[in-house]
Amino acid sequence: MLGAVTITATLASGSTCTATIQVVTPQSLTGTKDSEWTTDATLDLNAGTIPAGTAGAGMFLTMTVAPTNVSFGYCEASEVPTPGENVVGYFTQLTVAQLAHSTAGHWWTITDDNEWFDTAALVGAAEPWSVGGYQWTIPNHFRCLGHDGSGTLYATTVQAFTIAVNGTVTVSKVGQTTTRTP
Amino acid sequence: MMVRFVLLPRLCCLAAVCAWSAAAEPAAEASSATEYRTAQAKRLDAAESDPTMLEHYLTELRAYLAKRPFERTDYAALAEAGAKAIRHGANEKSISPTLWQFKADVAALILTRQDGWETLNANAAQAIRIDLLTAVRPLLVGLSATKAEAAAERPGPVNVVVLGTDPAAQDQADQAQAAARAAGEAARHRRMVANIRDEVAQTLRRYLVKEFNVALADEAGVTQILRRAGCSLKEAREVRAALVVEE
Repeated sequence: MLGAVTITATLASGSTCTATIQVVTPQSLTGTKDSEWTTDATLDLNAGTIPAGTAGAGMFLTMTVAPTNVSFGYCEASEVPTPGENVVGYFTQLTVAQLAHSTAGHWWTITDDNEWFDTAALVGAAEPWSVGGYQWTIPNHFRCLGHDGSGTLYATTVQAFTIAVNGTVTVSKVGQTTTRTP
Repeated sequence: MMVRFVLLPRLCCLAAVCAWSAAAEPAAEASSATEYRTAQAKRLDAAESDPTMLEHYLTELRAYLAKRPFERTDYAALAEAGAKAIRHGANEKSISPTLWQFKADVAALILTRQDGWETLNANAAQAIRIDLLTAVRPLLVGLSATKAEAAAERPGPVNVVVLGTDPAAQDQADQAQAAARAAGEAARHRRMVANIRDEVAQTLRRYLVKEFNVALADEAGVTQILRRAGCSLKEAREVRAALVVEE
């Protein structure tokens, strides 16, 4: 329910007291980059490392749900799966299934500080490299804890991937970008 | 004669409805402490296979709290049945948010019993207050830990695209996805439990102030009451710290 809600308590004596509270829902999403993936001996998706010579880039993000003057700590967030879009060059060799945002479609809780945490990355683009790119246009939904269903749209974000002829991969999301050369 | 013919079927219907109601909600008018205890224990047993029995438990608890006069044996029954309800479900880590909510509701109801003391002297009343607090003790211990666990989580998706033919890389990606989804589910459960436990903290805070006339700032006073309710010194300090943080 949105807007003003008035709660009225009636005491045994018959007198009443009321309190009016404003109910607001998540309205937008911003992100900051916590760290970028680095080059190391082994591929480790949790630690964020990619072997030298392997094309790929990634970053860890903290996403903030606005407005921040209320807490959405009793809400969940989700990204809705979408197909790959604006597919050009190198990435046209991928299948529809490979291009789709298949990592979306599940729910996680928003913290009391209105945050959730994202990993945005692409690794393993095989040679020969050529210029290319594609993106996901992601509907972001929320719902209250304890509720089922698909939730309500509160923001739309874009996660984009590009690759250069030398294998340099760039991943961007909510205005944050990371670039890495093999 | 006409009246008799009209009334008889109605009385039969009424009797049938009463019989059906009694079956749907057994012993809804338990009158003695013994009957109350027995009926509530049966509901808890039945709840193992039929969770709707928990609602019946709460309905009966509310009804019992309205009983007048409310005597010492009634308080004892309340404390005993409440303690059993709060222990119901064994391992607190694995119980569902629904069961947590049931326990929090039981605690709120038995700790809001704030009248009917007239038949008791001051010492007996104080002993009963401690008994009721003791009954909810399992809900108090770990109050801050659940909240801290929920706060330490970093929930979110793993939007990693793995290309190429390296099965080890794909396997790692699959595992990361599965872990993110599992963590999401676990975090959801923990957060719901943490919020329910917040309710218990609020109930306890009101109870301490109203029934024991002790301010949360009074560390020694609160700790002493919690110790009398069966908490170890460490537990009592943790519970009191959680209550202060909650404010």
